[in-house]
Amino acid sequence: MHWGLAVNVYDTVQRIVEKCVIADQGGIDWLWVTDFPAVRHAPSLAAVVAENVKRSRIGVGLVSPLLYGPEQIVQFMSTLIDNYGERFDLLIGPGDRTQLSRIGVKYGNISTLVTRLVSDVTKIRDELDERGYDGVRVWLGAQGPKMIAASIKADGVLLNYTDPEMLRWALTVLGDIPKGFQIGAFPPAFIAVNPDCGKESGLRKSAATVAMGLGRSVSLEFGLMDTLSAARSSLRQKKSVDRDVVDAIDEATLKRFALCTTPEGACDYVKTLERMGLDMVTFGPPQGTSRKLVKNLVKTREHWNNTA
Amino acid sequence: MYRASVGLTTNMKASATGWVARNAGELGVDGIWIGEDIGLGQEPFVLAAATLLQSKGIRVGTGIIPIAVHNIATLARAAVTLQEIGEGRFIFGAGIGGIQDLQRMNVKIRRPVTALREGVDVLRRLWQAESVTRNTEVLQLQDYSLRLKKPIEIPVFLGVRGPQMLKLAGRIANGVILSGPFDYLRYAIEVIDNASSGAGRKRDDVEKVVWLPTIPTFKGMKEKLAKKVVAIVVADMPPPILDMLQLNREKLERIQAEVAANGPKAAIPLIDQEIIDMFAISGNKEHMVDLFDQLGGMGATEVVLGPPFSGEWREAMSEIFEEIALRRGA
Repeated sequence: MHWGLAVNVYDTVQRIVEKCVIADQGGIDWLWVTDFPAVRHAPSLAAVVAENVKRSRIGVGLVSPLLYGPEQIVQFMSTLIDNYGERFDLLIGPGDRTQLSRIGVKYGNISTLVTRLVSDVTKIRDELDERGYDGVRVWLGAQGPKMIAASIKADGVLLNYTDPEMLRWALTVLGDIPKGFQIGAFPPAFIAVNPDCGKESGLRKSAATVAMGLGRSVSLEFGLMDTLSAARSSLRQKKSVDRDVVDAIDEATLKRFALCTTPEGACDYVKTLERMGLDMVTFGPPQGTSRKLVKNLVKTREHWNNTA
Repeated sequence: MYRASVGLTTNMKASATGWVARNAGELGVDGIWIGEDIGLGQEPFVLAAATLLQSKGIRVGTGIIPIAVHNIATLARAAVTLQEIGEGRFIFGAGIGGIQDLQRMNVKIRRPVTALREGVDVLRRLWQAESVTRNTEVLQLQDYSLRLKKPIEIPVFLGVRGPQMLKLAGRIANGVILSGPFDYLRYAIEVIDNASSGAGRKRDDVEKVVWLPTIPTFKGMKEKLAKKVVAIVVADMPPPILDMLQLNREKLERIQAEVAANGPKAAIPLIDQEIIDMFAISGNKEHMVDLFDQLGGMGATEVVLGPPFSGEWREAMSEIFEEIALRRGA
């Protein structure tokens, strides 16, 4: 089972590097550097992370092909590899619709979005292969059933779920899994010795953001249509996930979209996902926001190594 | 005394760009400029990041990034990232882009001077941690900010050519990246200085970087490659600049037509020594540094060596920088 960390790209480059070095030295297998709407440019950030870490693989993304064309994506991945070796993977997804529209990038026809993304993934993979960069794994970020099913065309899928029940459902949507295909989970996470989950506003906001991204069919599948309706109304008015949106979701529901636990609890969680057949867990925000939380993850990983 | 820098392009291999960056300090290089061959070779921002990381203590700039080819938010974010990576050593060099490149990409800009002015204005506002709404020919931003905790200063150098663009650069830029025949460069520097004075700025407020193709003939430079590069430069030269030159206009127009129809390789037979001398810096190291000195005397604050790089270009580069150091009395 591989462990990943979503790097907090709202930090300065210096702090990002410090935390990546801690994670790298502590045995975290993957460092994921997301792109827009983050302030910093993920491909450039991936270069500075690669310059400073020794063993972790570096994931570039989530990157939206709506913002960068497949040719541009191939160009930055190949430049990273040419300068720093075969240590990079790529995560593709449509990106945040509201944020993209603020910079003049439109989703276009929504009914063809999944098809277009899969076509871009294929183009990127083929082009990288043709140029001899066959060590890059191209992942697709997925939450809805169409995207999950389509992800089989990529090298792996990063499922935007925390709750094992939801992940189990996603696995059924995936169906037969081709050899070598990787499956990862991407839970918002807060791992600490004594976590006070109700007070962790960063975690609650991350959980609410994932919950608000849930499509109609998934909400119906898990009986969340009514539960999330007040938060959705609030989001329509506010246009961003703020405290009112978060508070409109009940605690039990929020818990399904985030991992708030002790190091021992986190190891149990990882064990559960491993038994389900997952290959990777990438701990999402706020786990990457502070050195302390990154160190907590490293200690959790040590605990895992010692008890596995 | 002028700064002496090295120019790289994205179409160079990582082994070559990495060599320049890692050896820049030892060579005595003051800066590295990265030109974007649109869509070719290395990605410009990742290359700039690697160059900043591989070099120590010198300025690294893009020279230039065509603003209409990238989303403005990407440009703003990349520049912030690079300035942090370089701890203040990064320069954002921007422009509209070469005629040939934009045509190839089917990018049409009706008002290039306005587009560049607005692009620079928006970038600076975003770097000042402002929220920006703008809807223009090349910019679409709605209540967008970089969410910076504090403003960040990033020098903007403009790669410009025509008189209106030169005036714009004199008014708003921290520096200008110029390329063209000597007669044109003399004119361009004068226009920039006049525009900067007119805007109440000091002459020194606008740095003048001159980047010409450099062709060291003493270390096995391939003549064909040199001629191909000069053909590209001639093809991108607008008519008002050609009017300034004491050269057979018909000959230059024939080169332009050949490049447009069949590419720069096809124009190689049309490039003679007279044209090479007009559009490039070539010869032995002493002669090349003589020409750099001449540019410094004309008001260039920085000269850029290369590309094209071929033959024993590493040795040629070392010897040219040794010659510059010798004349500086180092």
